[in-house]
Amino acid sequence: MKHLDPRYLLLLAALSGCASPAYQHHDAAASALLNLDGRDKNWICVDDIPKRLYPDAAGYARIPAGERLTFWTYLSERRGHCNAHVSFVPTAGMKYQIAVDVTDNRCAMTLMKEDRATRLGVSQEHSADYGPTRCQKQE
Amino acid sequence: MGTCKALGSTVQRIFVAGCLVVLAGCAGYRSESPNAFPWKIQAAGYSEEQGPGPLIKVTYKVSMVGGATMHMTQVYALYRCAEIAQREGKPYFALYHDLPAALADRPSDTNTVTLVLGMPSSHAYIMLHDKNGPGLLSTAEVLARLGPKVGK
Repeated sequence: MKHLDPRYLLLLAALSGCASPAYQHHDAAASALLNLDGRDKNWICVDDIPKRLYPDAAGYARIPAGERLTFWTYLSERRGHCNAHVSFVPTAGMKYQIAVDVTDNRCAMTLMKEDRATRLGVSQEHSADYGPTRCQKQE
Repeated sequence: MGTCKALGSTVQRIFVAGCLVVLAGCAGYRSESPNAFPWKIQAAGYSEEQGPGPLIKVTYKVSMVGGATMHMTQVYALYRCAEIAQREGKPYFALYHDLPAALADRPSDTNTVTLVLGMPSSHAYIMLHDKNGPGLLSTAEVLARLGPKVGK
């Protein structure tokens, strides 16, 4: 059996997202929680620097609150893959959810805040902006 | 040698017959999950996903091989939504084109169909109801109206 050259393995690891540093939240800073919904390739961009997000045991990642940030997720299906992003201002103590739908050959992300008082248990996040962003994810 | 030739010919016939079965199976309404057919070149059929909250996301994909029209994909998708409501014992359901429409409670009476990688695909969010209300669809009415079109 032919083995892969270790250099190719390193290249594959870099391409799969290992190149971005992980986001580390400082305990004293205000934070919100984002449900990553089982997706394993997620990033946030704070101060124009992309950082990889990892979920806790409950599936949430802690993110900084009170400042606009950009969140990306990478979606992969059998028939294709895409990146979806949203920019928003998280509110301290709030929990957020994301959903990604594939339509017209593009990924459409919807950001929601958890709100038990509503009929769906979630409501629209009004600071969400799905337009172009200058901060680019590094893979 | 002759036995080998005969065996090869039989294998060819079985392969061609198998292909015909697959092609025939892709053309019509499919109520199985696409995950049940991982061996197919292009998965066809529906998938459903719970959430957020009480919403159910229903996706209906049509195989390139089957060649169903955009209109029939819309019919299949709506019929599948009604089947889910029936399975859950709910006489009414709200149909939403997408999540923002569901969040704003803007129901619709038809699914939208788009092309994903050149193949018709429809997805919608549904919310099941026990009682009738503004903008809701009747499970029984949709099943009765679309049943003949999907061959049920």
